[in-house]
Amino acid sequence: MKKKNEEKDFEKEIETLTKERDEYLNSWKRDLANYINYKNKEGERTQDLIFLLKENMFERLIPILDNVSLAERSINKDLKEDPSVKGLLMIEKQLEDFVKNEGLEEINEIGIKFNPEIHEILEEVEGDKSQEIIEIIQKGYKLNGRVIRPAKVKIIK
Amino acid sequence: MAKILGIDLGTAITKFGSIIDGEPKALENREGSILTPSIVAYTKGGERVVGILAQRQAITNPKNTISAVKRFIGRKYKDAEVQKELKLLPYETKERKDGGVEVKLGDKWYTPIEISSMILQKIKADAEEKLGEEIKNVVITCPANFDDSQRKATKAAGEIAGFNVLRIINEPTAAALAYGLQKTEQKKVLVYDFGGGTFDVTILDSSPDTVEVIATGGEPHLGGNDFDQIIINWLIEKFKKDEGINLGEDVLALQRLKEAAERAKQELSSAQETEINLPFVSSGENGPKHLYYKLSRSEFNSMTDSLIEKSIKRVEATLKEADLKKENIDEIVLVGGTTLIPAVREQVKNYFNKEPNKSINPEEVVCIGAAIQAEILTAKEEGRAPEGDIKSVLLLDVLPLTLGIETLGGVSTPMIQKNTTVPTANTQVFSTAVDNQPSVEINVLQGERSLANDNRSLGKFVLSGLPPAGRGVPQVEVTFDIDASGILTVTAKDKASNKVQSIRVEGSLGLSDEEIEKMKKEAELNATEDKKKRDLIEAKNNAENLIYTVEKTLKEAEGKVSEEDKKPVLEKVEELKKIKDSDNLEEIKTKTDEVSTLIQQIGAKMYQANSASEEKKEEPNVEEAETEEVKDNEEGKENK
Repeated sequence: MKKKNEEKDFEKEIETLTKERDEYLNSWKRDLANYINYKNKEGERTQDLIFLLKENMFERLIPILDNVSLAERSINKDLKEDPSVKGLLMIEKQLEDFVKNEGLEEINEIGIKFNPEIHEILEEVEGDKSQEIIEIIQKGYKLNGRVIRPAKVKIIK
Repeated sequence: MAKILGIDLGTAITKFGSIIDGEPKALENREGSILTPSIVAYTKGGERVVGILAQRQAITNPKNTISAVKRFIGRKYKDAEVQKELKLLPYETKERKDGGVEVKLGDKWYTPIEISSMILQKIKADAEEKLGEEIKNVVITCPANFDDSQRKATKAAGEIAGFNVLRIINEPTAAALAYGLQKTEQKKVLVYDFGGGTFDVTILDSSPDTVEVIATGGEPHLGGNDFDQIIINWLIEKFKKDEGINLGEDVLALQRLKEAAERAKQELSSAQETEINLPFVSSGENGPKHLYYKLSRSEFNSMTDSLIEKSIKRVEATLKEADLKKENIDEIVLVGGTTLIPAVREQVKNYFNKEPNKSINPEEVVCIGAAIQAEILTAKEEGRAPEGDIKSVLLLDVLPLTLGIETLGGVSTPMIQKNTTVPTANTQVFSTAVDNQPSVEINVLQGERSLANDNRSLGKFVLSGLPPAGRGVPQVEVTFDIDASGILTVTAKDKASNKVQSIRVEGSLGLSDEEIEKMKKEAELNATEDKKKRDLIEAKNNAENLIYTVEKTLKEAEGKVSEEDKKPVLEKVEELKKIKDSDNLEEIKTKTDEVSTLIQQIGAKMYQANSASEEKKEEPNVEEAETEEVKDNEEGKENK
């Protein structure tokens, strides 16, 4: 009788312990899985963050690029042969190459149809080809294919 | 578990949010912005576009660009207010058979419900693309003063867009929900909502069961755009006066002024002064003209003061209407991008003499509150706990103070940083400080100070029987391991002899909260002084290491280096020896650098002189830089 009771107690204990073991093992596996998932997500988030930081930096750099190209446009033709001015223009070229290599693309094509995905209209004039872009008032930019500033354009009514 | 959306369907801008990994978050649209203009257009190319794309063609296509349709949703055409608004619109409208409003887009007539549903359809498509699944359940917000017919119309717009609209809730209520204000006792909450184009104030009676609107008020045409316009006008006037040119007539210049004004407004939120710098903004007879002005925060504040004043007056009137005094308000919630302007926050704070709730981005707070509400309702429907509300049954402790060991010169070297979640372990390899050092002492420390003496020692032990070797050669692996019960085991193992020694620290890790706070405060107070002391010790250690390496190198290279080359370096070493125990950090560093340069030159000469078959000499302090040293008993005493 005593032996039987002891056996029963053992069985009960084994049952409890097995249940506990499964519970612990499962929560351990779950935590491990959570951790791995978290790590993967964190990796993606870091990528997004890097992109965002780059985008923010370019958003601030673009007005400076605008100014450089405005400056270039205001230089007299004769002056462009001056060695100092030539040097400055070479620096402009360097700057343009740098942003291009970093994935920044210009939106400045004229003669195409207005596309609200990449253009914003500032003015329209009378003409033959309706909706055609005849002037880029301010260049637009794409970073890795995403528009970060639409080109401000003049179009035909 | 169905994904949900909370949508803040605004007059000018719509925002939407969801619960991501248990956290409510505003989501970006397809164009990468959290803000979607509430605009629908029929382009001249015959395409229907919504949001920023519609805005980009608005100037030249005003008749087919529908904005601010929220002002007419669920309202009668003949309403006096509707009539007043209609006069400001560039697009065509007419009365419907049922007395409502209809707007013309392309060749067809649409109701405000249909236009709103087009905006919501875009939101649905963008959110589904972002979250990767179909979204049905949403909560949409509306102004507190919307009547039943306006609410029903908003709900219908959501349903036409393909949503299952769980509820339409008030914008200010959503903002209060985002801050969890309904969870506490009964409170009077004032929501100060200063958006891009409108200003609204709402007083709520919030209790754990219900949130009730007591009074609302607002200015339909007062917002952040007015602040920008003030800066633009100021710039135009100033430039006209200085240069005689009206920038307002030049499309590009005006565009650049708008961008600069918005940037200046944003910069003045954190800086006291901003520069508005627009080179080549125009050109006159004498060539290009540049615009360069400085705008200080106080100047900006005095220019825009009247706008804020107007909003405060509206707050006063609304309080009066609710028969309340400003002292009766328990909580203030800031909503809308304009509340990011410091002067706005300051004036609200001064008026109520109370800090407003502003920790959640005021532009996102309404859609976040709506998302929280949508998740609660969906979870209830699905018979589960709302995401983000599930607390882990297993609570893990964090380490309140840094644990470390004492290293050469009495420095406390961290092994496990404070705020690390336990259980955790960390292993690091240390070495000896003198030649043939027979043992190392491990002093286990707790605290944030730089020097061992200023921290609390939890225990010490000695690992002895290290085989004889030069300084820096033995590798002693030290492991700190804290289990889930907070018991710390520190083990030291000599990798050469495999000798192990360890210590268990029980109980004494647990300091009272006051003791922990006191230790943290002391560390903060002494941070600068401690850093100076630590830098000095490190410089002394580096100097000693270098002297040791130089002497060893020269001894080993006996006969290979000429006396002529040796002399200057030995002289410099003598000078360094003389000052290395002083407290002159700069001099120790300079002399160390001098010796380092000279020995590198000798190294380079030796390398050149040797044939290619000979091994390249190592740079003098590479080895030392990578290992940290544990003092032995005697060495430690000497240093103290």
